[in-house]
Amino acid sequence: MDIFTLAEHRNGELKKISLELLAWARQIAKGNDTVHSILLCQESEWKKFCPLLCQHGADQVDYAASELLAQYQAEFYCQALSFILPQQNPFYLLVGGTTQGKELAPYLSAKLKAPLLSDCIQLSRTQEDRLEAVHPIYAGKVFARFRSQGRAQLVILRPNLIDPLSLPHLKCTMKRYEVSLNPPIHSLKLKEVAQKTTGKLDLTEAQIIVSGGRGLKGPENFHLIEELSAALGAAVGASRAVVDAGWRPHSEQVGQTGKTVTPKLYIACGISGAVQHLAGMLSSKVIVAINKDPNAPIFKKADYGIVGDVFQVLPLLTEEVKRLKKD
Amino acid sequence: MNIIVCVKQVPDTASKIEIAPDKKSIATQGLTYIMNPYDEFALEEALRLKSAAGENSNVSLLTIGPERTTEVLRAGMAMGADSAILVKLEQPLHHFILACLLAKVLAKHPYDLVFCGKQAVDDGVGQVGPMLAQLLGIGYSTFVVEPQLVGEKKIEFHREIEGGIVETYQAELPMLLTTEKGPHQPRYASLPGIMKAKQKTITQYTLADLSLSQQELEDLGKQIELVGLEYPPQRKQGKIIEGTPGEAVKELIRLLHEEAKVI
Repeated sequence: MDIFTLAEHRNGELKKISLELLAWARQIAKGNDTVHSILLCQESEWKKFCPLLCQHGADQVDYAASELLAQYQAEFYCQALSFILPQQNPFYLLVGGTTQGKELAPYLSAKLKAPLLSDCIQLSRTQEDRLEAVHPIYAGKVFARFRSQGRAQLVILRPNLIDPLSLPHLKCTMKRYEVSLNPPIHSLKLKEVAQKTTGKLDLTEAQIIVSGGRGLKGPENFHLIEELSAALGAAVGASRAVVDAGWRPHSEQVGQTGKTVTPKLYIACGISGAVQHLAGMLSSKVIVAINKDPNAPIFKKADYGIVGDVFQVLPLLTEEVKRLKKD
Repeated sequence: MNIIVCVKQVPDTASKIEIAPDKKSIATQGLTYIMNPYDEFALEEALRLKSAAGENSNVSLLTIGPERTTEVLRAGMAMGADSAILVKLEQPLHHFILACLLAKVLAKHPYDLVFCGKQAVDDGVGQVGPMLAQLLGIGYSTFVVEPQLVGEKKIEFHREIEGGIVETYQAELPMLLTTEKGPHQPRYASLPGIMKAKQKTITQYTLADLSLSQQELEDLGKQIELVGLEYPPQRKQGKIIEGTPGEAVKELIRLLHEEAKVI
């Protein structure tokens, strides 16, 4: 069986999801299988990215390099993948649950008429080589277990749930594909790219998140969240209430109409814990809640809680973190 | 300009969600249903574009589901959509089949712009939009906010991606867009709007009308099998850390470092 993973990169850097997918692929690989990383990029980048993919679990890197593939674009990537993926033999394709992956994989799946399992948090393989995956539904209250069937089976995996492997001695081949790309049917033109937040670390990639809610009482108090976050090397998150109130940008929102995050540590400050917020963070490994209200629903889900005033607790917490880091 | 907004009726996730005895569905007793929030955002954007485009523009809702799904259609028409289309279906079908059905409907209805919410909050999958674009053979983009008309058949929109990055695109219609939550709150339906909605037309289709045969359904259906629903593993009972703020904080850091080992 050929197990393909789709590498992602941006601004000259390979994204961690590329390596996570290789770890997932290794998890379901059997003796004779070949684990591939598919890399679509510009000419000047494949030499830099290929070794990294090799060192983290790829038996083979299938790459196509061209100006048209330099930046992700759904139609071109779809054409290139259709070209590279086997036409006759069975295969699996693992894609990351990123904006890129979520946009591309269903489009490709409809083109190939191949089943796609999305937003998966567990992945395995049956005796008959059917992929089996679990994905959370109804705000994470229920897990749905699916099996796919077919020559080609596609799956989207949630980011940040598996550690990349280090396999520096694995024998790895690099195979170049020359793909001729047809002009796109669409007329999409990228006009501008803007960076809207100072933090470059995306919530979906963060290992630690410090989130603030209404309990912070106003946007001017969010520095308490930012300071703790900086001390921990964390990303800043927010509840829907404070985003709708205009205190924080939507890109920081965690929850049903925000992001779904999977950090090792999630610290919820002044957040009551409405179902819609929990939907976005219940996959966190460890949850800490700080809230003045002992009956706040968030305490039912937290591993550790402090019933207290965020204005008192947060500065003390920041200090204590700094002290720990110094030792 | 003809704008289609695909909408889905979903259970309110704040409802009590329980797995039914068959372990393949959820118990429907006591569930309240709402329009998928992302579809509401999509509808709001569609209504704004309709205002901007002026005369001869209309917004039509499109959905698939059982009879109760007409509730979200009436709600959407109360907000300002002009008409609606319902593909009447009792059984749940997986996403590719839904996209095929939507494509068959749209072969009968003219469109310049098709909106979908970026995902539905019940299954969080977000496949139908991109699949539909593939089946329709039109350009598409996802995670879109603030689409605006910049010409008779040209739009400009932003796309929110990881790392706080916002891309700005322009494209010529027809296009399919899936909407992210943007700065515009979906409007409330006015009382006159609700009254008018009762008179607006809902066109209904069945599977037979859309020439999707039982065989096609079965073949496509085999591709994905629901093995079953299960509850997530229970989180271990948490602990409230007692003491003064100073003491509690010290203890919390100790636990996070030594017990949980996350810092």
